[in-house]
Amino acid sequence: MTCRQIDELLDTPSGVRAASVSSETARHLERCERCRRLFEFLEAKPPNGEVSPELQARIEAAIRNSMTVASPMRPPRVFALLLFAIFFFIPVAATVLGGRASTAMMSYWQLGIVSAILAGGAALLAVSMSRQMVPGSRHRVRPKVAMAAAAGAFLLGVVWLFPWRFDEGFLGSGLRCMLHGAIFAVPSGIVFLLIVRRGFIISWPLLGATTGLLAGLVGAMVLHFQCQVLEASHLAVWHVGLPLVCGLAGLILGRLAGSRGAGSSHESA
Amino acid sequence: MGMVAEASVGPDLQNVRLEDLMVRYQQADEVAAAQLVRLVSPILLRYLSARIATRNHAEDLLQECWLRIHKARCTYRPGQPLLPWIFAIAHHTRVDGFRRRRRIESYELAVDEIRDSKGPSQEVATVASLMFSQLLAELPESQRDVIVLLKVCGMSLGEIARARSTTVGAVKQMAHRAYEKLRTLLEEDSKTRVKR
Repeated sequence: MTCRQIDELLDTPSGVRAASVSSETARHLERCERCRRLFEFLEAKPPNGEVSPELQARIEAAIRNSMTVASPMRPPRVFALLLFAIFFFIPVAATVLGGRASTAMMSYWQLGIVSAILAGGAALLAVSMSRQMVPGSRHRVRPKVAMAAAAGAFLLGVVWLFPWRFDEGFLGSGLRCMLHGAIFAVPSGIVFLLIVRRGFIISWPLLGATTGLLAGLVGAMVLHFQCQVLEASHLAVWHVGLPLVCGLAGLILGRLAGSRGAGSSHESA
Repeated sequence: MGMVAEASVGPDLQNVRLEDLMVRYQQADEVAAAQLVRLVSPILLRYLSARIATRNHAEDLLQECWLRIHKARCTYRPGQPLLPWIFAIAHHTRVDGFRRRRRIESYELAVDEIRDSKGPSQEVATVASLMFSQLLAELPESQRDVIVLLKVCGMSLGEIARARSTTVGAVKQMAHRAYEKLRTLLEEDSKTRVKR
């Protein structure tokens, strides 16, 4: 038995731990003073907070005054599917209405892989956002990791798949491109926000950044089908830049919302 | 799942499942809501007191936390563990409260605080519990949170991970760092006592 194994034992809740102290553990605790002190310290029960009857009554009265039936919200996966569906349909609608000029210029690899990266990133963000609507949700992938993965994969994809050429008009064409993408990103972001507001938001800045990034990916997907500038520098700066700028805008708006205490959910009657 | 540490509940409520109370609370059962408040408030107050200087402030946070829980109750899904859901809301309540307090304390000191500024020790009756609070105060906030949730609230690593929107691996790492730090602090404390 090592000190590290004692750490593993301490990870279990107190009742389970007490029942599973083996003779080997007992021997280690006899020999190792540091572990013994720690074990005794963590085994001793600290006091819980004493709640006065007046405070208890105040809390109960506050709850009673606004007591209504609150039907449980739909499962997070429903919201994740809805968010992803919006991500999917807006670019489809955009290509139906505005054409898909760039698809004929790309190879199947370029078209397929970047589309898959964008869709995969969107799926990851949609799941993350749906989990952020419910306090205490299990996050298989942490929200910040999901955001980094979505943006990072997109950047790597365009850098790897497209040629590096530096044409004239980098700034002008880039800003026009970004504006075109923003026309789809901004309304998407508003729709996403209306959906996620159904939950109880623990961290508005985090959700704002995630929402902004997903909205930016909507714009990036539209650009992927319509922008005819297929060079790595343009794509890396302007197409990848769009979700990043939207994410940053979402973070700032989220901070403002959080500071104004806008954290509530809609109660279902 | 959902059984609160023995120290916090009376004998008539020890076998009540918190999740069942929460479901009844969602159905506007006032008795269930009151029972839930009575059962969970002691450990919530302990958790909220971790970084708070005065008892009054901790009680204000407790009330605010319950109002947020009340507002958010439709987001609890029956069948899911309740404590991670509650403590995710409590954590954020505490963070907001700490930030608000820091802004206020930068320019005023309320009269109540001067009278009431005995710190967390005023709720502490024993030397052991004072030592518990003092040693925990030496830990970084993330590690302290994990220890309080593990030890006081009796939550598992998985439940803590959900409450803190992180992974079990990250919680485990924080816990093990906390154990190492506590070993060192306990050793130093022991040496200090011997010198006296």
